[in-house]
Amino acid sequence: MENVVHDKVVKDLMPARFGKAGVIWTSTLVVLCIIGLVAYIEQLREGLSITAMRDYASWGIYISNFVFFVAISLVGSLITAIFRLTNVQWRTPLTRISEIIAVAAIIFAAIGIIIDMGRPDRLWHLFVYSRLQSPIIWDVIVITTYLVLSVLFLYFPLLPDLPLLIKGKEANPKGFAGKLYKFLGSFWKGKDDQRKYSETAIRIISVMIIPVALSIHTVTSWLFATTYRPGWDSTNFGAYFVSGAFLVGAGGVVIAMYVFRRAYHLEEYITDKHFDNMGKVLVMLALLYLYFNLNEYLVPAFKMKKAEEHHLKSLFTGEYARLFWSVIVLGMIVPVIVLLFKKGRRPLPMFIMGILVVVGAWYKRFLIVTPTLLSPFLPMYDVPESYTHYHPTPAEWAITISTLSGALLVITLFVRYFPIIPIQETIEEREANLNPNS
Amino acid sequence: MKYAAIILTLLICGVSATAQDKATVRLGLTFRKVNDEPPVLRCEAKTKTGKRFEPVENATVNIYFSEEDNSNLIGTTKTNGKGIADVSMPAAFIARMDSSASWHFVATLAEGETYKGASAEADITRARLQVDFQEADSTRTIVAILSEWKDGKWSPVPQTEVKLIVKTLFSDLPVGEDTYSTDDEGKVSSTFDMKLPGDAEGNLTLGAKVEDHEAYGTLFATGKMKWGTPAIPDDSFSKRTLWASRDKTPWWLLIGPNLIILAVWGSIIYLVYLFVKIRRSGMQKT
Repeated sequence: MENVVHDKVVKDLMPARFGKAGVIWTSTLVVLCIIGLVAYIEQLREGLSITAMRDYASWGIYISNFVFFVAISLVGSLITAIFRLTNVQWRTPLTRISEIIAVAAIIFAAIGIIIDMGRPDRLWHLFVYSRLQSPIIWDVIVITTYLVLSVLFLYFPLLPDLPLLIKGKEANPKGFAGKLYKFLGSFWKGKDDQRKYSETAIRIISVMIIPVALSIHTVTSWLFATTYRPGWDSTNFGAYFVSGAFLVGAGGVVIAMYVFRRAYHLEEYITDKHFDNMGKVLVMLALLYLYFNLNEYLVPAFKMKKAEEHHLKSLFTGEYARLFWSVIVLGMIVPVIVLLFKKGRRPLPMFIMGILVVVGAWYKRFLIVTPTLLSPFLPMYDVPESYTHYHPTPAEWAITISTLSGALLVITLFVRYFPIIPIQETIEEREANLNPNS
Repeated sequence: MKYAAIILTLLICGVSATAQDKATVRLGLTFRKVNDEPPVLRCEAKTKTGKRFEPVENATVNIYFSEEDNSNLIGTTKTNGKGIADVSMPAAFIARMDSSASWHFVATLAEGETYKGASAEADITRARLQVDFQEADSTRTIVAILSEWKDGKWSPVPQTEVKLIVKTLFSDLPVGEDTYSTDDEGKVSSTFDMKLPGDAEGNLTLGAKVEDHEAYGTLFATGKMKWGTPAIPDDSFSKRTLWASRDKTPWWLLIGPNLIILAVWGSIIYLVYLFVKIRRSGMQKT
């Protein structure tokens, strides 16, 4: 009986070659990445003048995209670490999905900072001439640490699956996949001491990654909060950013769950129950984020200090009002309402709500970064009128979209070569369910 | 013959057009005296381009005492980027100035490639501005007296505008009202009750000035008084502060985060060590 379970799980969860849709999807991502790369080469040649960033909006969609990536990467600690430490039983099929999202996002968050640099050839100055007093250095330190921990958190639980992959039908020892699997896991024999070391490592990472993940987003929020600007001058920013990050991360996992379930026919593993549970998590996180939004906007709006008036009015009734209210309503309130109902927590509505949350979250980062810069406490004298608005150029859009495509490409390629649901862990869980007394 | 007349006309027009191409220069000449220092004569040259005045740069200016003659040449200089040229009065001329009650100055600007020559004159009456600082019963007063040389002696100048000021880094700060008019004794005064930062010892440079007067030019009289608050220089940049350079990171910021970084990266190294043990165990033949 156990062999039957083993064989079925292995058969169901082994990575498979792309179908027609997979090839089209991957090709599209590659093309978008190439377009972005061409635009970036142009930016290297011409400088940041090809962007719409000027003296007022010195941070545009590159930085809001960076904050978005940092935010969505937090899901690794939520699903994998918090759920693992609190022994949430239904987490298994979601752990690897969330970890690869975290790794892909944090890689492109780091790339995002370099893209925003006018002189990327001076990146090394950041390390050689770093000042520990600067929040930017804190960000560099925590991003590097989080990236390393996330890769380890992806790798250690992957070890037991690698021998299965080596034996599997993809395992042409001379092919790319075969060589990759052997390099990564030919030494895994499932011995007791190996399991013990691996479990110890996973436990350590589960504990460590939570404060590191919280720091990465808190420190990113401090990049803003330590700058005296309307909308950023808040003591609440760390918690506000972390709560938003949990929301977008959970939204990202929901989208990935739906896509992988459909693409690889994983209905037996990513069940309606998983969607139902994630729906409840999403409601809780959306309400939490709404609470912080209320704090961030209602309290300053109640006082309506003269210096902050321009910024708040640009969001509530001005240039960014349509975007602002769309994000609040579609990205937070509508998901809460829909997901409160059991029918709303079924896969398709969940998928749609996940998209609303993630797209809303991307634009939310834009609303945090740019309108503030367009409303300085001390307006500049005699600047061209165009400087007081920000409309990203096609090059900026191309580069930004290419980073998003790049992150999706990393996830896609990972899924092509590795099981997106942990095979060995699933087998052990199922066997344990069959023999509860063993 | 007919053609020769046309060519001649064109040539004459061309020559006159070339002459007309050169811009007319407006040359100004002003006189300025600060305390007992030698007077300074300032020339300012500008041309009108459209509706705006543009400075004439690098133009040669000669300034003469009394009349345009080589023996009266005070100095030759060139205008700077703002079209301004200053000449300080040489000692030889100061003795000549002391022997008369009024002076006549002439400035000439040599013709350049793009501008015409110009000249300017200034008649200055010999005058003197004195400033005095009084302190009685914690009341501080600035007194200035304006007088002119008349009939072989200094006589007070009534009803003339004098400003009382405190010198600051970029401009002059008025003390009391913007300007005062001298009384029959040529005197103006104002109490000083401003709380201003001075130098390290609290010294302020206070004074009086007559500005661009048509007869006296600009006269400036200043003096230093300890009427300011001693300024303690901000040397925090050279201490261990959040805004100091990287080698002056505050100790708490250096020790605290580095301990955390060491702890986290120490754990990561331990994780790598566990990985190495997993790998070794798998490589061992059982």
